[in-house]
Amino acid sequence: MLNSVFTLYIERWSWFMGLLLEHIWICGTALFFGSFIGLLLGIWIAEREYFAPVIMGGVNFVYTIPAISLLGLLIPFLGVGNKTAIMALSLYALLPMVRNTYAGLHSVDAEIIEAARGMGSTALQILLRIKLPLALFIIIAGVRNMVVMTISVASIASFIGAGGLGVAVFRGIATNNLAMTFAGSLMIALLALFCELLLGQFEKYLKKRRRMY
Amino acid sequence: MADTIIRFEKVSKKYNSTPVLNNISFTIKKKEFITIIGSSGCGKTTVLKLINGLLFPDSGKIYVQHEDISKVNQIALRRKIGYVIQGIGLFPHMTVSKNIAYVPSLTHKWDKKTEKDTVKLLLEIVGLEEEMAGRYPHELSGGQQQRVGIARALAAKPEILLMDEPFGAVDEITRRALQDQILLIQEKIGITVVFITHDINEALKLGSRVMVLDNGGIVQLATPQEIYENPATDFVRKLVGNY
Ligand SMILES: Nc1ncnc2c1ncn2[C@@H]1O[C@H](COP(=O)(O)OP(=O)(O)OP(=O)(O)O)[C@@H](O)[C@H]1O
Ligand SMILES: [Mg+2]
Repeated sequence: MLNSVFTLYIERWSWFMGLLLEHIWICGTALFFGSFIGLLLGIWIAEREYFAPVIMGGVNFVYTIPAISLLGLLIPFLGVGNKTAIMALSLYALLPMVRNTYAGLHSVDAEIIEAARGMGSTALQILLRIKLPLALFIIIAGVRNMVVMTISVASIASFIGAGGLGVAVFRGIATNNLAMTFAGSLMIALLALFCELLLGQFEKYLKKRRRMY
Repeated sequence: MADTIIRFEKVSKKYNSTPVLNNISFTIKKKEFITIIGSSGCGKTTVLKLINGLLFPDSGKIYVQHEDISKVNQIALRRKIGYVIQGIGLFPHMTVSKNIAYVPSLTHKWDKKTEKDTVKLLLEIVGLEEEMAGRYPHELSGGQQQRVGIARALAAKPEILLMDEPFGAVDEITRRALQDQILLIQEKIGITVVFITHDINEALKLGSRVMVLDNGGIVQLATPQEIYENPATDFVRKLVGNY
């Protein structure tokens, strides 16, 4: 089994590399939009509490839609292919990002904020220099969560014609080729693991800089 | 009066419907060291936050440097008033140096050298070693943190310094050292200090005048000697009784 997987990698090396790069591209784009919009939404509802239930309810709702349904529902608007995949993944990515940004900003000690306010900081200065830096590690936890989830859910997107490593998995299933399915899955798992480790190292580095052991 | 720096005129403040301050009026002159004392929950912190606009009075007027503070830019007002909050409130993600440079950095960028020199000077003023500059708040003792809190409040060269029980959580010896330090600082830079405490010994030792709050009002505002010799009410008498 493992032998045939390796043979596959060697024989179809450039095909797998292409799928891997496409997978990274799809996830990267979705993560970019998801984290950017998620961060802004999270900040917005933390500062304007009034909108929090609506936004949190909305992103929670999207999150409960099964991936396959969400992809299907988006086809009429964006057609089959990568665009739909990126859209669906961006929507999923919103939840961990919004939730953690919101929770992170709320976790900041009210006393510290009052100190900053009492010393004459504007609301923007408090946000950028006090709240966001102090919420950083909770936000990063959201990012890690989001990245791993996006990489694995992206595989399902091949079902509606998107590229990426899911293509290998689906072809394996369709042609009853277990080695192929395994080869695709292994690369997805390794990619997720690698990103997780990378973000973990990044977090460690930041903690070390603040000497939080 | 030309040397008036803070003035309350018939100020009342309530939270929801609970009155905390009833119609209080007082005047603080430049370079005075006012200590405010009273039971827990009597409104000491409220008085302080009214001065720097963190709270607004329900009625009455407050003047800082002859300006009605309800009519000035609140951000600018706060930047010229040093503030040491109850519980210090150092920024945990910034080094001592960055904490101290915080207020000046809100308005203009300091170059590295100015920051280093100013921080060094301020650390010296509050009696800390220069090597503390690179540490984070969690790497300091309670007393050292309180000194940094004072240095931070002084960094923008304010004319008024508000201190809310700044020496709360330290041992007696450290507390005495900090008290001597603040007296020295006040003498050296001629700043007006409003200092909250719940320790009568501290209030009498530090204050050029002591303000005693009780029942939503000022029951006495006088020199330590007068407070001690002629307590205005039973409350004040009990307060100084164990002096
Ligand atoms: N934001 C608030 N909302 C409602 N009530 C408040 C609020 N802040 C303070 N209070 C109440 O107002 C009263 C005065 O509070 P303040 O903080 O001024 O007291 P204090 O004299 O500083 O007390 P302490 O010595 O314990 O610090 C207290 O009874 C307190 O419970
Ligand atoms: Mg208080």
